[in-house]
Amino acid sequence: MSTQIAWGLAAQALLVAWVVWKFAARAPSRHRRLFAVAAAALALIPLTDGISAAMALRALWGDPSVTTLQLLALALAGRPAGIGRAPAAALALFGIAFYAMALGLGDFDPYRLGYPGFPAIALAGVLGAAALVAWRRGQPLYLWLLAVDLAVLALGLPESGNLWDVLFDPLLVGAALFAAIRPSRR
Amino acid sequence: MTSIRRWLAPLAFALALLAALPRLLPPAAPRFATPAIATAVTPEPTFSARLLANPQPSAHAATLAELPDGRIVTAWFAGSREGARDVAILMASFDGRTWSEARPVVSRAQAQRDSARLVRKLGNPVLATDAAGRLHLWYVTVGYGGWAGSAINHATSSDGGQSWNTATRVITSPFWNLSTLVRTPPLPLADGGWGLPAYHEFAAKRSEWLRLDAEGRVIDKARLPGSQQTLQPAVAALDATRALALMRDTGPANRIRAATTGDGGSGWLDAGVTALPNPNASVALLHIADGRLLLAYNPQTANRNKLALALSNDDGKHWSAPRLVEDATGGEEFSYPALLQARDGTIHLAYTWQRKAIKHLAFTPAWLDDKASPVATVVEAKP
Repeated sequence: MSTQIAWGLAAQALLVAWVVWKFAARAPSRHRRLFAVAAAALALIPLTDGISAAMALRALWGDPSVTTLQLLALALAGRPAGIGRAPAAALALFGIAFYAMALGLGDFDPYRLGYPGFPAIALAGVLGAAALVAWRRGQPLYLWLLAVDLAVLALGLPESGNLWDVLFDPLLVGAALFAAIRPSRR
Repeated sequence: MTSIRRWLAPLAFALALLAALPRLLPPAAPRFATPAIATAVTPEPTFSARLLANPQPSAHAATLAELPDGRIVTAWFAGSREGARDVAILMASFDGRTWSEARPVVSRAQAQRDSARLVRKLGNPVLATDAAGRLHLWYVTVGYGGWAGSAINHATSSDGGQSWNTATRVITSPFWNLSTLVRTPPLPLADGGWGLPAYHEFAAKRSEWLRLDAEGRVIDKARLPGSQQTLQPAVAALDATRALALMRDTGPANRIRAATTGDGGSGWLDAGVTALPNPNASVALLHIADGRLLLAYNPQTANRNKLALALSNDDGKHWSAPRLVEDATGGEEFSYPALLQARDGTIHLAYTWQRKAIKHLAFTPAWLDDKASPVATVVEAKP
């Protein structure tokens, strides 16, 4: 098994673990963690036709972005990262426009900008500068997320070498949209 | 201590950016590899036709490549019907006289194992041989939904297709990697990589161009401008930087659409609608060694019951009258042509024959100019 496939299957298992973790919110903390680990392990076991739940999920939505995986891991570690309503709204709006164009709306495909080239370097630089500003304001989360995204890309762990694919994915954009529009807790 | 910890984040970012930089640096400008010049072109017009034995009820989407030993290989997908779970990609080789028995090179189960994903069906294969003699195979798989849910896979063989390494998934789209397909052969690039014509079907039909490095990784992607409602671009290099793409038209015009590049495929220009009719069917395009372009297509606005060849002496600006190689009037189908010129100068044409088998024509360039030569005699029939 290649490291890229191992990465992809582990990513799906992490996603399954997080879903079980969320649904078992009322279970005692120890049991909750056990359920999540058991679900992740079960997701990797091939069942009918040699297909595991992780393989079925990979076929459905591909591998999650590195950012998504980091946020899931933080949540499972009991340190959920709140990225804020405004950044979530910005990501949701950008993501919707990005995916509409990437799926064929118009002649310009923004996905191209994530392949090796000066636009990708500029993108990493601009995001890094924005994350540094947030860091200066006492919010190091974005800088850490971006650092790990780039480190994983450097290691060649994801199947995709496109920068966009380590930064975000449709699941993250969907979650960002949900976070942006849900009513505030009082 | 707190102050040092505070600086860990920017330090980690700086290191990660430095580490990722080699993967972000732009590749050199692409150039098409100069095609090999035929060394022993037969001056006489020769022509032969063969039906390949197909062990399954259905066959479709042939692709051609030449092996280092001069054998011609073709691959197609076959099964009980298109889209069925038993569809596999078959391959056979031609030694100049006869075709070998077809054998499966990719099954659905194999595609599942290789991609570590659920695979519901297999689709179009594309073959090509690189300068080192390695045979490349790209093929379409679908996990969920119809063909619009397709993705591309890539495998290589160092022994002429006898054995294949584990196929890798080609990631071409940010939205669940949905909907990139291949059908037409790639163009070799001077850096050892490929320019792979592709197309997108989900939400909008678009012709695309993928630039791959020598290992098959995508390093650039271009959407052909003005390619709405087009599929399956067939691309021929005109020189080291210029190429012509002719596209299947799924729109109301029923005419082959064209696009051109002048920079090795980095940028494309819409060349509009040609006068060539197209019944929403795949076409094949070949730059033959004598400098002419050869087109294989269904020369009508509806039905695939005629298949023809046409020549262009001016890089696709004008085309000769169609020369029919299949001519029926009923519901027959002769479609999805593939063209290849072997190193000995022989031109090979393979295509779907009645959705039941693959038919192979072999002819010399001189035959193209000899209008009196026959076209339809099958010398070896093993359907």
